[in-house]
Amino acid sequence: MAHDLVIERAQGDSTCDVLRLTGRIDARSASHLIEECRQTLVAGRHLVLNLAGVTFLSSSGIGTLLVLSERFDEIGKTVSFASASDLVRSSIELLSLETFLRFHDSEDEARRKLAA
Amino acid sequence: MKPARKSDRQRLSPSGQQSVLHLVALREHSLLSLFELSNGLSVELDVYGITDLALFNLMGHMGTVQAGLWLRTDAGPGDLVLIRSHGLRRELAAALGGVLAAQLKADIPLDHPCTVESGDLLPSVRALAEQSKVAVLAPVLVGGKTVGVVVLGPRASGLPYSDLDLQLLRASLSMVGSSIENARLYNQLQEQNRRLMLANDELRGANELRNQFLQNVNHELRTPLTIIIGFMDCLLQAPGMDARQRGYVESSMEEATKLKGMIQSLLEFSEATQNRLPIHAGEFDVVALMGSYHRGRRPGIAGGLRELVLESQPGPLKARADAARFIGVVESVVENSVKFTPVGSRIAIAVDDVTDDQGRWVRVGVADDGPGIPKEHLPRLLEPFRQVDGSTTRAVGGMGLGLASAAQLMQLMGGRIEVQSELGRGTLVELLLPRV
Repeated sequence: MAHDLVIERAQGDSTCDVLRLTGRIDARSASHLIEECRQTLVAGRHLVLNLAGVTFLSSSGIGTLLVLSERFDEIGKTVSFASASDLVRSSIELLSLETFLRFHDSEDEARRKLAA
Repeated sequence: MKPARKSDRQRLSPSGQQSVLHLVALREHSLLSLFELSNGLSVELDVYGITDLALFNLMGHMGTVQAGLWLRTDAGPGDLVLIRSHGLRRELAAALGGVLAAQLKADIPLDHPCTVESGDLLPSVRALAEQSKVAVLAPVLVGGKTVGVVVLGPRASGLPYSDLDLQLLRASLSMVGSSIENARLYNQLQEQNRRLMLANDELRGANELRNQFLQNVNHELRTPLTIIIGFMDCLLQAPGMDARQRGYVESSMEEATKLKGMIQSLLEFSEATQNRLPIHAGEFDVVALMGSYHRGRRPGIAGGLRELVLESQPGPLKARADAARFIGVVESVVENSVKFTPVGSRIAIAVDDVTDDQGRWVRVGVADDGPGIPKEHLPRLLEPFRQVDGSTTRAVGGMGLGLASAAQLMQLMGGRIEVQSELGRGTLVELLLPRV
């Protein structure tokens, strides 16, 4: 499916991968995002998704983030979401789902928490 | 004192205004969710893709972390197979599918979305739904018939599912039902096309068998004929025959020699027309090839309610082999997985590269979560059951390569096959091609 989400793999460390997302997380980009995260899942590492460039998070996008969190939980790893805009966070808070997703104000903070 | 104006009387407190704004935002969110689902479904042609789309959308729409979807199979009336579940314990999801099927078989209609408290449910369904923390059950309807069931967990906000929410769910699942029906029809069409192509291959195979038969007959005729000619030659060398007897033997010899010549011609013709399919080795990107195979094969397999997934290392990964023959090998391995796994199974094709003491390889793994193969049968799997002389015929349908023939082909292409299996866990067949 044609989508508007660019995923850039940033420099991670020995235990954690970092993906920087730009564009829309919705039904069209969901499978692309899951496929990119799969490599980290297979390698059994933590993941930080930097959402600073995400301009829209749809219902399907929210569902995708929930399913990603579940998949990482299943293997005892964590996916954290960093630098989400107010718009993105308000979509999550509207549904009171913030307790199921680990949000951090910055990529560095997310990585520090994972390293701790 | 002037009486208060009507608008003043109805003015809401700040917290009331917040509630109204929240409600408006939720309604807008619901509308956008429906639009998104409708748009997404219009381009999705696979049962598993549709299920992912539907469940991701409903989780994000209703704000819940639990969701599951079962579909009815053709295997038995009312049987349900779990397509996907999120946030539900696997064993509970399996048990829930069983009791939901029992509800459908008992003709207790599940014809509209309902909450666990208010629905007309079998006690076993209610008990398991409560145990699994399911809040809502809803049918997937096609033409008034229940083709599947969706469950959703409680909302993270703690808000109960309102009548409007249940109506929105009904609208969403009505679209999902139509898409699943379309996907099934499309998948059936794809499968019929594939079967036609296979029938074509079978015909080609029958042609090969005819050639083989011809060859066998030739050999069977030539052997006694050579003996006859040999003895007649001895007779002609031996003294004591009169002219008439010698004439008879010479005529017989002449005809036998002619017959031998004709059989030789027949044999040459048979060999010339037999399709020996030489290996045309070339370089190709295995990642791209498997991507295209996956796109073509996934709908047909999904139509049978099994999932075919591709988990590929980023390409290109180049190998040297005969791409067309290699696809034949992959097809026969996948076909085996489909044949020997129950509905609801997952077949995963993985592509990566490995290095061992024998060299560098591009590895294509085909893993299923089916019943597996008993240990004692594993060594025999790759033994040729069909000799080159054609004394035995094909034992396996479909593309008919069989694992043994596939192994021979892989060897001819400089690669190999490895099989691992565990009873109750599944089977992994690895195809290794020489990496460029």
